[in-house]
Amino acid sequence: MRTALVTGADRGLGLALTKRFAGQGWHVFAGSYLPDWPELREAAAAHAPHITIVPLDIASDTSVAAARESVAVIAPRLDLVVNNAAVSSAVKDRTIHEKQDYSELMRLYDVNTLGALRVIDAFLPLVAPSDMKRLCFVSSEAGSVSRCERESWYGYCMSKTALNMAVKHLFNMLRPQGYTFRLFHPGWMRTYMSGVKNTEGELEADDVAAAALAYFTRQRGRDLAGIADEDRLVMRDWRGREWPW
Amino acid sequence: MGNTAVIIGVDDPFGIALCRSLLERDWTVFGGTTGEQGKSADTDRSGRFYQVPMDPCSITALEAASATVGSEVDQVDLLICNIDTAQNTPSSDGLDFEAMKRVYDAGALGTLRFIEAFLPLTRNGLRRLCFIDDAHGSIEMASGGDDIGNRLSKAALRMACMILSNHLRKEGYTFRIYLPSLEPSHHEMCARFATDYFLADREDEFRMTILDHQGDEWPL
Repeated sequence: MRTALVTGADRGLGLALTKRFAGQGWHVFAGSYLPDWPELREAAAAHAPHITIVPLDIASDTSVAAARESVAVIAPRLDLVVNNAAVSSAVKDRTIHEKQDYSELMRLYDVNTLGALRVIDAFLPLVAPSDMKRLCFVSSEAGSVSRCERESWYGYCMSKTALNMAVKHLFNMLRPQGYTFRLFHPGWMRTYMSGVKNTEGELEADDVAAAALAYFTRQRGRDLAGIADEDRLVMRDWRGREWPW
Repeated sequence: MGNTAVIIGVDDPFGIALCRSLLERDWTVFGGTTGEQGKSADTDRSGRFYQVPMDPCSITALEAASATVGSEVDQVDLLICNIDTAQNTPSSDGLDFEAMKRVYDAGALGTLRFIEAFLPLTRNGLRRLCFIDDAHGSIEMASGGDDIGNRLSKAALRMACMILSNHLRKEGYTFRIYLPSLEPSHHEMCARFATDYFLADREDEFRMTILDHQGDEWPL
């Protein structure tokens, strides 16, 4: 049975992905930051024994290490990791003419950028024995410098650009060792990024999860010379379109 | 009084060379020292150089520095951000998350704090914002794995520049991002090139470009 770790699995895209992986027969370790939120427990019961809930705060070195230990007790290896957990901010609309909340900007960096690095750093020994070695990252168009048209959202956009750079760093380090990468822009979803559900988004999380699961689990092609598309890092959205850095 | 520039980061040789280059062109320069014991830029023989402590990790300290500058001049024409966060940590050293946060706080967020604090002084000036970058900020060009904290901070800094540009260009601000050579013997030459680049107008102000010390354009 294939095994995956999904961070930020309590609700939104993480939950939808967890349910879809479980529905396809994977054993999913679902990182949970919100123990009082009921949806993940309900999904684990409905998909038993395919979902194992793991307490996980990706901004905490201690929590990430403890999660790794609890997964290692159950699974000798992880085939795929989805770095999905991320946060936005209630004060993201402030322009440079207004006072920025720098502790909040740092919180976004700590979760959205360093959180993914913490998870990969900790879980890599469990991924190394896998024949799949797939590392997936939910990023955003908000991290694309060349396409940016925003006039605020400093903390979120900067954290996602830094995440894309972090993934490039991991790609440079780990691709020669056989790891493969998926960097994904999920689109504007009706999820809880700011803490409350966004009802104005264009997409339902479950629809995006269907696209993400296919993208995360498929192989990428080779050209006639045998050069694998896996050897270049790209960010693709839910429609399969590539985004520039 | 003529034109005035504020430079944060005159602790390093390139920052000092930038001060000299602007002073040679009769500018008044406020040089921000970011360390606890900022080195003198040794340029005050002109009488137009003022050294001011500027802690990039403290908006309060930068607002105080802005008030100091505002007490001396009516307007600032040029803001130059030269916060050096290169650590030169090899990839084999592992990931130090606390160190990465410190680099981001000083480099990426320090740049934002600097602009936020000094922007009110620029309204009646040339309205030009300049950023000293390095090749580590380019995701497209990134190779190897050293100095990851600086790479993350520099990449985020480019996004901050783009958001600033999207907003402030509508108010008449113009932007320059510059990659000097890392070769120490090139500092003076790079500073002179930077000064030309920072002071000249461009026909393509509507787009963000990154130029290196040879005038070559780098990808965002």
